[in-house]
Amino acid sequence: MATLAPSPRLRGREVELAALGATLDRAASGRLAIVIVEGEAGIGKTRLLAQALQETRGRGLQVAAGRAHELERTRPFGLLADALGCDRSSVDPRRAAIAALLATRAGQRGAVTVSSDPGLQFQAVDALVDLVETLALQRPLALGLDDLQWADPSSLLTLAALTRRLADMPLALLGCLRPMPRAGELEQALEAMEAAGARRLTLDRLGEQAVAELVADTVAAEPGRTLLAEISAAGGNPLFVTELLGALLAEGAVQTVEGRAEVAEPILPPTLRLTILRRLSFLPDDTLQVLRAASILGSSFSLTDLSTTTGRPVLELSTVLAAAIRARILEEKGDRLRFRHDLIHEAIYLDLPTSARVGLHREAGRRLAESGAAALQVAEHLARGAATGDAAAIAWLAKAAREAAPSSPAVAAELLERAIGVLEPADPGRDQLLAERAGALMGAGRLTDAEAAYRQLLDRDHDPSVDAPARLWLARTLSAQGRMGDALRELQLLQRFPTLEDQLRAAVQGSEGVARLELGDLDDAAAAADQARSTAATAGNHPLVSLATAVHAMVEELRAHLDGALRIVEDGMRLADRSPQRQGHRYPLHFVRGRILLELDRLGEARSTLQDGRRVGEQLGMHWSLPLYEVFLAMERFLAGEWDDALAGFAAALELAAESGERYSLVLVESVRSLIALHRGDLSYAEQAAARAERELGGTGPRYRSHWAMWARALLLEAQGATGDAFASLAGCWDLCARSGLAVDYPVLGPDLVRLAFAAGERARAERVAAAVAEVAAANQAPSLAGAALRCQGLLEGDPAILRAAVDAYAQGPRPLELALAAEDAGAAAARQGAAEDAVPLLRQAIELHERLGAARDAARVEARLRELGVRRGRRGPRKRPQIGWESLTPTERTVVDLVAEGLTNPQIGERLYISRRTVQTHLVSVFAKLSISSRVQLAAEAARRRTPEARPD
Amino acid sequence: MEIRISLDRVEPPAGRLRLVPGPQPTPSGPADEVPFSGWLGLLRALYEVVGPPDEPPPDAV
Repeated sequence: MATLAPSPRLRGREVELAALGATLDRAASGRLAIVIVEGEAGIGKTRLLAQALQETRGRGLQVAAGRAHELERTRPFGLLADALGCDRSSVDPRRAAIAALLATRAGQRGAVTVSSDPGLQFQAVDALVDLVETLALQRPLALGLDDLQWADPSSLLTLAALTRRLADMPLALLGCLRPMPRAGELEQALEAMEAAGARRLTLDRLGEQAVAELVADTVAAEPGRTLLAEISAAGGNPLFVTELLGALLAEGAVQTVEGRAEVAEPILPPTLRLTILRRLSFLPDDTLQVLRAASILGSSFSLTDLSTTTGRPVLELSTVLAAAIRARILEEKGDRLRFRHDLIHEAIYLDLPTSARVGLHREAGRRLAESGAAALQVAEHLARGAATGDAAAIAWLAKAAREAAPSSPAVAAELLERAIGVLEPADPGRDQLLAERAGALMGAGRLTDAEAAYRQLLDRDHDPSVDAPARLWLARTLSAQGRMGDALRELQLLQRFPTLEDQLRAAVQGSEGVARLELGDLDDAAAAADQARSTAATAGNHPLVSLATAVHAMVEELRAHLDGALRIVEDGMRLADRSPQRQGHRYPLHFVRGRILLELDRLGEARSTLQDGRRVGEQLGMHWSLPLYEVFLAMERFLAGEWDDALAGFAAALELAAESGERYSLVLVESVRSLIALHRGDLSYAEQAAARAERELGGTGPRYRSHWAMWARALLLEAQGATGDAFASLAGCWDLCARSGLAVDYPVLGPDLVRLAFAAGERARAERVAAAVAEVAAANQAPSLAGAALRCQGLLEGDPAILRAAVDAYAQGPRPLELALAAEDAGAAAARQGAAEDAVPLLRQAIELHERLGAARDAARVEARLRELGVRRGRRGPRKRPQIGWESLTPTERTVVDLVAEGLTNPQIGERLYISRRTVQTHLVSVFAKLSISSRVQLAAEAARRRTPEARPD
Repeated sequence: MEIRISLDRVEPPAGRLRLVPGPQPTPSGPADEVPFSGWLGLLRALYEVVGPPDEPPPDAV
């Protein structure tokens, strides 16, 4: 009698295999290549993936492969950690470190609402991306991931990050999934992969020829017509074909005569599930019973767990299951056993009566809990076996959620949702879990979902004990969305609570301070900060003391009391340094100090402070603070005149902010992008960026640095010839600052407003502005503040000598744009007085500075002024940088290229250059576009070639 | 012979299976009811009553 061949050849998939081969070739040549294979269960995705990965070795690629499991959808990073071999016992310290990171538990931290900082998640994402990058740079890597429809949210988040960040790496991503309703995280990962050029393959049913070949392979004989007609019931699904054949063979229905296999009698067309069960029915009774018990544990299980749940010794189980392994129902995979196909698992599992399944899950959960299994595993079984109100299931789900929260808030939210689903409607613990779930959603960056969850809780009758914390977190959710007015309303409601314990009161007062500061209500912000500081100090809450200190310092900063502001924040930093485990740094004081130093023109110190702060933020897992550091590090580059670096930094900051849903800095980033584009003459981009900033404000309401958007709009209007409107806009912007006492921006806005006011015949306004700027300059020691005051005064009086003094003042500082604009003003004033000999050098100085900044529009304007004086400049300044080719690379881009050529990874380059890995990636994207290449390998080769003298064009 | 199946539940099936003796001698199995649960249980009950289609070697399934 014929038997089932061990593993039939892959048939009928030549086209798909060729497509996968092309993908692997692309990766081997140094570029990211992605294929997503989609198809129904049993259609051969796993087999195709295995074959493709088998063929990678001939292409010199290394392979990492993993498979998601239905019962492990809530294991954070499970899929990728398995695929990449991140095990605590790994000999590779990086892999072991990742495993240790993932094993971090937050069980002792209590409710998710107060421990939902997803810093650990982002550390793990970065660590996994770094590992893949390092591996791929050692040797091209193929990463095969099966059953993505069951992948955990954190692995999907990492997958999306991989596709975004490693576009230039020799990496092949091969993913398989079933066409079934997709979770949001899977949809986002697929979108990211498609954006990175992923190819989609849909596996159709096999054609007749392929089925005949598969049958022939399986029965090791030429199939006869009746046999093929029988097999046609499988509809070209290869698993169904082999299972049907297996059942026929087992029943002895297939006879091979003279090399031709045939069935004697036609059999009723079965379903795939019944076919599988029919084949299983020949196994011994005991084996079947154990398989049923094993199916409760999922499509893959360990004998230890099975022993725990069945109470039978491992040795006995392994003997009983040997028949299932011989029959190719189970297969061994490392130290686990798994059903050869999920459909085989499913057939056995679904054949159990519902009551038995529920009972077995409950029993498994109970026994696993007794044996000290992970909360997640216990919770999964208890939840599947739970009836409404099952206290044990609810408690374990909540415990698992709290453990998962730091590394995967999305998983925590899902587990809490399940716990809530099991609760009796009137359960007194319901509101606590609802609040925790909302906190987890916030941690997952799903801010609008979190807001909806908090509102759902607060808008109905609820447990008074959760009211205050839930409202505080609702306010923070609103703040994170930039909706400061809405946040403040919630905080004001909270202030009316008769009894708030100190920790909560301090948190409310601190948050109120932040909201009022953002809304420009400086006096009340300072008052709230003072209260918060005092309450937090009494309660021993170091982060809140820091928050209150920061608000106080920022109030002073905005009032342009810069030395005082600096003293306050530096005192706060010393206090935070001395706090237990540096808890005081859980509010980003470095960020505040960095900002103040920027105002004081101490750019180098600001830069190193912001870099330190970013490092502290990473160490303490404060992912939310990282975009702030990126934005202000980019601001430093902007002020220092390194605009390409600034733009790269802004792009990196926006990517980082998008990952966490944070929108705090969007207005500022878009406003500065608009300003840079304006100076460079790209009015279309300037318009788009200004519109984005304004849209953001429209959606969230006004807040701190809203006026930068108005400033950008005013300059854009001026550039479009609408000087009157420009004046009106900038005057409105100034008034907004004046009403709030935001004196720190007077020197920023002043010179433009004096110029526009003067042009509009509003001399009184110009005088008031110049006086206000002078007052700020007198109270603070910074070259650019002195320069701004002199420039305003000089413009007001049309006095070239004063403007010349402004140029000298700016020259003492680090800001080339302001220096260039002052030189232009001084030159123009001298020209108006007929002193061409004074005007020309000043205008030349301006033009050179503008060209260095790439400010083409400004340079053209100054050039026109020179022409009016009869001077044709010729080629005196630095050559204009071309748009494409090696000569177009900025100094930072050249350095990044050199380091890529040395074989460094993005994080390594980032460390070397004190920039973030994302900024390195942004630089590389720019380099690739300028050089028309698409891979790191190609870049390194090209860089090496250029180092050889004969290869240089000159 | 005749096999009578009483179903308490349809999917997955559960119930009892009984062989009703006809004029011909039955191949094997008791005339009593055999309870079953699930398709696997039904198949196993059938084998118990009428005997398996063939005795396959253990590695042939």
